[in-house]
Amino acid sequence: MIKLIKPYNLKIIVFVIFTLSGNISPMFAQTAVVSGIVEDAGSGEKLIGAGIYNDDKTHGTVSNNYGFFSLTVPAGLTTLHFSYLGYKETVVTANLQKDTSFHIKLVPSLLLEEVTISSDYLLKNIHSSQTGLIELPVKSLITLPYIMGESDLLKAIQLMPGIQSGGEASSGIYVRGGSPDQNLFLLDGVPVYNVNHLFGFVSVFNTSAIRNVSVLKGGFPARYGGRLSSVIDIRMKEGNNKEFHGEGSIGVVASKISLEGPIIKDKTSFIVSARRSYLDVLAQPVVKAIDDFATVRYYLYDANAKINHQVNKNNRIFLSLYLGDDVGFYRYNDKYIYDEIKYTRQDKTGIQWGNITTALRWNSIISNRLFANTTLTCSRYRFKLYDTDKKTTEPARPSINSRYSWTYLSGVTDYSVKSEFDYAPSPGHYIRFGGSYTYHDFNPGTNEYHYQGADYADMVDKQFGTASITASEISFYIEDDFDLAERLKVNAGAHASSFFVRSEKYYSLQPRISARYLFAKNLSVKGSVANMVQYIHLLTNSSVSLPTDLWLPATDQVKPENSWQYSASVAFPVKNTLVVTTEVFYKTLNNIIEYQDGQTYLNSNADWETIVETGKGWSYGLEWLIEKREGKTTGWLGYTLAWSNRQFTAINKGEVFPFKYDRRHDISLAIIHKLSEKLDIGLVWVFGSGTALTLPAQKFISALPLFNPQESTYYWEHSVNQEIEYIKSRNSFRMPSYHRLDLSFNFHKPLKWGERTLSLGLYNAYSRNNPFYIYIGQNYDWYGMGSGEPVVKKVSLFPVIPFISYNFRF
Amino acid sequence: MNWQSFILSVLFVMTACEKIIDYPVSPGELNVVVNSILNTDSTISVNISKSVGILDTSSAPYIHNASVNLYENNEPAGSMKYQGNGFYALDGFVPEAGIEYAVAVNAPGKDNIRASCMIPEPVPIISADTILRLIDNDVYYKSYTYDVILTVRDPPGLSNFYEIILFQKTLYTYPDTVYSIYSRRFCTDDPVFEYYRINNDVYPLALNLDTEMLNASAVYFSDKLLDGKKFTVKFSLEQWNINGMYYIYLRSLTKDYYLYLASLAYYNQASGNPFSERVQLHSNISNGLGIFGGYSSAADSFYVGMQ
Repeated sequence: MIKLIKPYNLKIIVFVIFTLSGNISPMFAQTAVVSGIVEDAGSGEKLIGAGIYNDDKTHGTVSNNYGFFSLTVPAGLTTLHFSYLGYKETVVTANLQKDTSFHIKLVPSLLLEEVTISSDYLLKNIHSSQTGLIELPVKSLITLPYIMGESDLLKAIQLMPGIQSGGEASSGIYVRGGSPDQNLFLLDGVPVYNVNHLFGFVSVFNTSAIRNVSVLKGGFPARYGGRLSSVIDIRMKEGNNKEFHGEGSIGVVASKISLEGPIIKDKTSFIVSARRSYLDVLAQPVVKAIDDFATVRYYLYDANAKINHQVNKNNRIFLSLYLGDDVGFYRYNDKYIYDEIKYTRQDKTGIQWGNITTALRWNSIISNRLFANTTLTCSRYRFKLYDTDKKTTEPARPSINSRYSWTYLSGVTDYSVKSEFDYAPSPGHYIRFGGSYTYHDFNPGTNEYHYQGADYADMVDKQFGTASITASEISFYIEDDFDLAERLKVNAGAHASSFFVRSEKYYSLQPRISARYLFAKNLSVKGSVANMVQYIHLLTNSSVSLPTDLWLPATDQVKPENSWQYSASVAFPVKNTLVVTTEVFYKTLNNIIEYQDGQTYLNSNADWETIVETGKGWSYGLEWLIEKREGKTTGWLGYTLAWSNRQFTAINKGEVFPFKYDRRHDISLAIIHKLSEKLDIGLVWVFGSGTALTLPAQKFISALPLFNPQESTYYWEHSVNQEIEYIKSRNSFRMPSYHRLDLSFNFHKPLKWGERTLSLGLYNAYSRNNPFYIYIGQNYDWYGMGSGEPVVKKVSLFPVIPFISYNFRF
Repeated sequence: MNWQSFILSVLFVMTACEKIIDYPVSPGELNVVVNSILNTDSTISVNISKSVGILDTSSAPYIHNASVNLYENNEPAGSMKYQGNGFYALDGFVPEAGIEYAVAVNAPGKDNIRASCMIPEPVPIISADTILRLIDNDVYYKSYTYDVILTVRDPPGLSNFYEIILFQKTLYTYPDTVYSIYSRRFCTDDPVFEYYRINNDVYPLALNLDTEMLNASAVYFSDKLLDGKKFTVKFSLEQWNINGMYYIYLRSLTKDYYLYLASLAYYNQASGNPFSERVQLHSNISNGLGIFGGYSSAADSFYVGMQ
């Protein structure tokens, strides 16, 4: 049996504020609305997804993204249970004759105390109508092992069934056969376009600043739109509004610091987090030793900041900011004197990319039944490549003096306003509705070229590439989560959107429905159908996540992407401590784009719309997840069996081919075990059968006629060098399978001023040579020795890598 | 160091190991390869070879015992005879523009290989003019080059695909023998060009930024932006040893030959980059591989004699 009611704790701090609304509608005369906020008693952080249940569990809800809840229950003596994973359950009994407000403060529990499944978890996973939802336990994720010890949200998400990485140590995620652009990353409700630092090895989300993460793989409610494959909703911490606290870490890749505290106690709080890598600083002496004139730098940084202010009991405002960049450059400064002339050359080549997102948000509890959230947001992604060269002489030799620069810029900027409402009009109904307007400004890639030769005269000044494209996107949604019968709960709604670009107008009405049938108290079967439309494309021609990937709008020539996804799931608890979820899905993707064979973003002579192909894809599979969220040992085991295909008219001769990340079997095991208050260990083991791969099967003589000017005609000349690889079909081979074990040991020690944690670990503990890529090469070793015959070579990136990091909090 | 090198350097530093693996690459059924580029100035010839497995240590072999028949506007034109090195020819047969030629090949183990093409009519050169241009105005010296302006009118209503070749012919005597030296280098930054040939490789003409860097022996482009228009393209002659007689050829290519060269350009560009999608070479050979294409030519010449 599931234990939902836990022993009362007299020390629980419960603030119950009874508020008379004075406006009870006659049609609900036999009911009362209980509403309010659920928050952490220690920090004042609002708790997202806290469960609220009446005694016999006939009525229940969860708090929204701002800790607000509204529940209509029968009037009279009612006992309400408030629960949240990792917190002690609070029980409130009240004689409800009127609409009533509660301000609930939950107290964190000691991990060792709790061994059963909390009711909020059952609410969200078994009793809710939502399919395809994963909520990540952010606090415990930090103790899992990560490459270089750098805790990474996206790498934790990759361990869930239905989600896989783009490659060794990559933060790119591929959800149910979708591509990375089909994931909507929301950081405090603001879309983030490029989520990668360090070419995908580190994600942009600093775990120190994150409070809550939920991942939706299917069954999308109507409130979400704009992407086909997933919604990753990341909520930043709000900042402790009672006490000043901080935390930080010193790691191999980067160090970070996070500070939070009240500006006005219980009213206004802030949190600031920052992170920077320092490999460049450590490497620079080596670079200087090799070449005194050269400087090579690569670093990443990001910062999160948030202020929230409680205007009054019913109104709060937030201002949040994220900014981050990756900066890499090679600089060469050379000076010498020859024949009494001083020659100077300054050469710099670099790459830089990053995001800035900001959000100004206003929460308002308009009534016990109605909650409003209005947000102004801005999101900017920018990618820049540049090369500069300047030659000077002193005294001047005009023919030498010259200056040139080339800059390639691409990116996208969004400005958006959004209003959302949560409305609980009657028992058994929870309505959400809202609308948004977004102004997009796409820069698909412009080149600026300046050249001043011969004493900086003879100027060439060119700008070319695709001109920027602006577009407007408007969307509205409405959804109702309601009880259709005693055991049948339905979430039905629609997302309507329109997109205006150039002279083209696109409209869509996307129906969404999901339903849950409760076969037994804790055994549910769910099903969902969701239609999604995406007006933004990502154009990529590489198998790794590179910042060169271009964000582009749907245009009159390149239609919006759309998908249908059908999914069904069964969820039930096992032995009071585990929850087992099995889910099947079928997804279609239409109007997806790819470069024509061989085309790249650098082909600036062609408009991007003329070098892409439009096609379709489909994927289907089964996902199985067993989770344990509470107790000494927590973690999960996931398994995915899936197929994913693509078809384009002008690619692969129009024939169907497997998606690059089509992987038949995927297994992930993540375990965190708390041995004592001073030591916990983390373990991750992953296995994946090989992803699809294109290899040549044959080679043949190409026609490369050489021009003979003497006869003004061609002649033939053939040699081994003119043999061409024959690609029979794209992605027709498979990479070898991938598996890896990671371990971490976290030693905690309380100090006078706080706590420190020393983490030691191993990435790829048994040093498996996993394939990063394989190719046809020649049998030569590093020294050029060998037979030279053609062979298949496998390149592996990481053997066993130990890591250490020092974390502290106060 | 460009940024690609930078990325590869980072990866290289992190690379733990590279090793040979026992990985089965089944070649499947081997293909017969038919290659022929027809032109209106020389005898037709077809090269027949066979593909081999990618891990095969031997080179792709020529086929010497194939049956190769040529058709002209669907009428038999003759059986081609083996010449050696995989070449088959029909003595004295020079193709003409505007006529459809087809070849039918039966090779051991593989029959009914067919391909056809029609050489387009040549597009005449209206003019090839030269303009003297000062490029270096040093206090110590001044230097000049010549720009070549080629003017052409694209035929309306047709899809045309062009190749331009520009070369210099000079004579050199040593000690008593006269040699012809052909220099095939010029510079251009004209955005109409899509592909270029340097040495014996073809590449996409992407990010053509530094006019001094791009030296080509041929350039390729289509008329998709020029259909029916009179247009000019510009080249700069290489400065070194600039004086001499120059020849310029404007070739009109069959569409399949152009697409083949384009795919070859992308193939070369992607070659060696493990993260790029592999490129499948364009082929118009039914039941086989290769290219059966052609071209016709228009030519002009001019003399440069800088003082």
